[in-house]
Amino acid sequence: MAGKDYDHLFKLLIIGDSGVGKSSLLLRFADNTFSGSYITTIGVDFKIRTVVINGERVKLQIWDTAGQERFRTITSTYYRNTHGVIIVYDVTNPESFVNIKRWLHEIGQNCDSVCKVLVGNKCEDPARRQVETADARRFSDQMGVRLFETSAKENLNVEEMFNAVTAMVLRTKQENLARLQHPEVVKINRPKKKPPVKKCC
Amino acid sequence: MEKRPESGEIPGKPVESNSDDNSGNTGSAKEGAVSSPHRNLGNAQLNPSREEPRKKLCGYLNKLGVKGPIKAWKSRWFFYDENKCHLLYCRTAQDVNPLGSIDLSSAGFDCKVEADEGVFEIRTPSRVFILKAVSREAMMYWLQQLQMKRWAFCNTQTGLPVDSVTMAALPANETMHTEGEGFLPPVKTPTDVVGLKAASLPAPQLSAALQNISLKHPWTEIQNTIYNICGTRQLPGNGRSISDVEGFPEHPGTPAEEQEVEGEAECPGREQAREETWAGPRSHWPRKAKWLTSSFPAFTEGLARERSSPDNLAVLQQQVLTLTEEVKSQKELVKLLHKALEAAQQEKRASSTYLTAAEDRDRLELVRHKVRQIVELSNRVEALESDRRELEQSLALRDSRVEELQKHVQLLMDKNQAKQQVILKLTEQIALDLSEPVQEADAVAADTLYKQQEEIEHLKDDLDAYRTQNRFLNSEIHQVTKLWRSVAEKEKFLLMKCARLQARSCQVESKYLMMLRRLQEASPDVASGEAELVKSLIQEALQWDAKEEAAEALQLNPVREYDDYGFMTIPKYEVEDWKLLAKIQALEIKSNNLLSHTAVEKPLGERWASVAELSPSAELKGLIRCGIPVEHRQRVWKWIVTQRLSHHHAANHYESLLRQCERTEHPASRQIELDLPRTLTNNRHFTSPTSQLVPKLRRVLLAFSWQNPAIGYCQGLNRLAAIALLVLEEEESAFWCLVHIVENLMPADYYSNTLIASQVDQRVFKDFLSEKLPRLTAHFEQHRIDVSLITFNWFLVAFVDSLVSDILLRVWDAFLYEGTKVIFRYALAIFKYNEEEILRIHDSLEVYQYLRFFTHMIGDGRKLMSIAFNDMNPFPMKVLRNRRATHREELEAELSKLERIKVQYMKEQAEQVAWHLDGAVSEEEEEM
Repeated sequence: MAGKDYDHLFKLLIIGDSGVGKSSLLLRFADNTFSGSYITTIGVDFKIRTVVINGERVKLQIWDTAGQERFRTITSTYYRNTHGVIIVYDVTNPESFVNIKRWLHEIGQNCDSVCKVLVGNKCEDPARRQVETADARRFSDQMGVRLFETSAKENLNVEEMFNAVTAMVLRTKQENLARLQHPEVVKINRPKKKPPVKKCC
Repeated sequence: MEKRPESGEIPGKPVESNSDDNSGNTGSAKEGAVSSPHRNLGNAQLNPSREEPRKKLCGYLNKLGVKGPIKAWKSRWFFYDENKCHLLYCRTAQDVNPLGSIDLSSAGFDCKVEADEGVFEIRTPSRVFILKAVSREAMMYWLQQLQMKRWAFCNTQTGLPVDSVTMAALPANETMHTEGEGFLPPVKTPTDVVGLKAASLPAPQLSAALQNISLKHPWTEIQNTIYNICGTRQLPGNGRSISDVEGFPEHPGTPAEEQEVEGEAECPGREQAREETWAGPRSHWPRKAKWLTSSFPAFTEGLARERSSPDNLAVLQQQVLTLTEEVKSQKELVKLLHKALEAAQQEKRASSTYLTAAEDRDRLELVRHKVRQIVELSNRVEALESDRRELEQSLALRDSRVEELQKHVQLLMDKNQAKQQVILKLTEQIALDLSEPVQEADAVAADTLYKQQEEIEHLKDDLDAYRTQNRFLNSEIHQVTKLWRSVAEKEKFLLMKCARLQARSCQVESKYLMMLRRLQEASPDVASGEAELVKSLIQEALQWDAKEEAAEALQLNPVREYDDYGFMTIPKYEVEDWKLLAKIQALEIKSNNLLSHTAVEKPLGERWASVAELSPSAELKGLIRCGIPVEHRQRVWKWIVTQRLSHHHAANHYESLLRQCERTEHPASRQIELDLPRTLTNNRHFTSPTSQLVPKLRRVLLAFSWQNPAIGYCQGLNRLAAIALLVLEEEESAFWCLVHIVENLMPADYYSNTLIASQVDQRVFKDFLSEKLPRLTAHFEQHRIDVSLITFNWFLVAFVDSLVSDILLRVWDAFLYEGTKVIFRYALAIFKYNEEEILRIHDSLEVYQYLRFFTHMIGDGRKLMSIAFNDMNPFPMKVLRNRRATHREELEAELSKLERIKVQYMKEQAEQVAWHLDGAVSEEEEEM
């Protein structure tokens, strides 16, 4: 791999209920298009895009997962080596917002620590909105996760959201590197009694 | 001698007075006339001794003016041009420039009974010409001739583009002679109205000459007129004899005269016409005589001499006759005189004997003798008299007898007549009774009878006309069908050739695009100028697409937008780079299809056609593996499904499931509703908002959720059901097909809550992959590629949305018949198909990107099939079953362990709520 065309390679994972627009977000970000009739994702799909953050070329491999609950047994294997997770809900579908908690739980089960963002998609039509920004904001603050409201259809906030996640992942990596270079700073707060089921990050 | 040049003119042609005027374009008009009808006419007409190799088709017809301000019949001279298969027409036979032409090669002919006699139609794609011949026979002659001309022309045409091999197979070789039976019996040529001779006749309706002038072609008319004037006025003064210039023989008088006489005899109306064209009201014969004498005095003299001798002879003969008569009567007279002389001599002899008798006694004796003689004679006279009376009596008797008999005969005849009248009356009455049950007055009855008879006559006429029309139309149909067949044959051949060429072109184009892609990939190493070039070439290649598509609208084998089942043939890829690949693939598939169509598909189709009754057999299995032809697929799928399911459920099972759906909403319905618009989005049957298949799909999936509550609905079932619907069309059949797949073909728990059987199959597949393709497995291990990420959905939905529809349905054919083994075989075959390509990639991300779409790049379905069913052998079911069992055990153990760990983790999580560590150090971060 002599001619590496990037400085960093990160893996991002998009999760969320079925039909909230995970694939559309990825399609918008990777190919800058929108298709009202995107096929259901079965198993997993991935796309690649390289972005430049703070002058560093970051290649993103973004995994798009199936939303139906019974696919979670398989999705759990996708968490391996993931740097960032994008949890998507549909602002027009309160149930998908309620399920965020379960998704966060899922992440907890599969990853030790990972960068996360909460994304309320389909915000283009205020008339159809059922999850208020304020409620979502309160919840995300409570969970310590950054919230974005996007529209893959109208290309609102998508780029910003992905860039923010990438920046977060990049910062985390740089912090970790710094810590490695100054090992005395590192505090082992949590004794590593047992590793989580799937290691990641 | 002034009229000498005119003698070369065709008689009957209006002759202008020799007023003057050889100014203007005599010469150029002459030159221009080389190919004119006039010229042709002249040559052909004036070489009557030479057998015309082919009868020229020409003659006067009336043409119905369509566009002009005056919609009326116009007399036109029609003649046929063999080179172009055109029927040209002009106002008179002598005109130089035709007013128009009719393309016969693509024309159809028709005659209508309802129309006037002799009216027929020539239908070209652009216009319908309505023409009228003088009689029905003439019409039939025209129609037949036109058919023959068209046939002859089309036959000569067909020969050109097709090579000799196929030509032999074409019916085009058959000529009119061998094909005669299909056409009308040749109609007798009505010589007086068609052919070159007719040209010499004046156009019919010449009296209304103005009416015939084409208002549409004023320029042509003027040209023709000028030509006529100039052509006629070839004066001897310009140094050249008319015969030299026009190519006329020196003495055309004789044929001309013959023609004239013929014309006189056959066309009485002509004389009148001619008279009108002549300036003076001179009578015909004197004029002719004058003309003759002025032109050929010697000849006329001879003619006169010849004419007088038979008269003399007659007179002489008459005289001979009278003289013979006279001689005869003289002879009679002589005879009478002889008799008188004889009697006189007897008298003289008797009187002399009397005188010579010397004595009285002797004289007395003599007298006595005489008296006796007299008595004797008178006695004889008396006897004869009585005889005569007797005879008269008997004659009278006989006369009376005859009279009697005649009276008797008269009586009998009267009687007979009376009887006949009675019979006639009775017959009439019967006829009346039959036609009119209600008896009317006799007069009325007779009237109606008469009318009916008239009607019958009309009907007979009509019948006749219809019969003629029918015969003609039959022949027309026959010929047109033949023409059509030969054209179709030719078209087929050309299409085949075209397909082959297109396949070649597709291959070349796809190779070219591939090459460009390679160059593009290598571009970082290439000089920037060249990279620019490659880029522009790629742009160009992609733009061709759009242009081609626009231009291809009329092509023979266009890349159709949708295939037989409504799938888009060129998938819509979102990414720029992939557009090139999509194009390459579409071209490859097309070229493969084009090439295999005749070589493989046709024999297969024939084999399928011979499979009348389906029954499980090794042969059928092999046949199904090759792919079921589109026209048989539905039938075979239905057969497979019913064969495997029919004994399971009641007849109205599906309906009862639907009723259940209406009653209670299944929890799966929400997910089904979400997935309906996201199913087979590359198929127009599912994307169109008015599609009938979407509601059908909904019902099938809902019914299935009640059919199998353990599964309910699993994402992916929508695709399976959708394919089933596309092929089977019928909702219930599709439902049973889905049931067949889920309950018969797939192992248990393939779609259930944990998808455990699906996961097991991924492990089984990895085993097979390492066994069948060890190099590739090593490559994947080296780059830490988990193929199950890619292959998982191949298995779950049996390749739907992964393979191109054409190949997909072939896979499904075998899959429905044989089961999941087919999926394993094909999954392995797909990797094998692309093995070298994958081995060339050495970056895990790149490998993943490649694997993500590489199924779409498979264009050669035959090759893939051959790999799946030949290269992957042996593939025993037993091994598959065993591996499934072991992996399932392992996986179940792992899952339960995982579950335990999860539970434990949850507990710990609850304990460690207070711990808040963010960004725990992780060494593995760098690796991916």
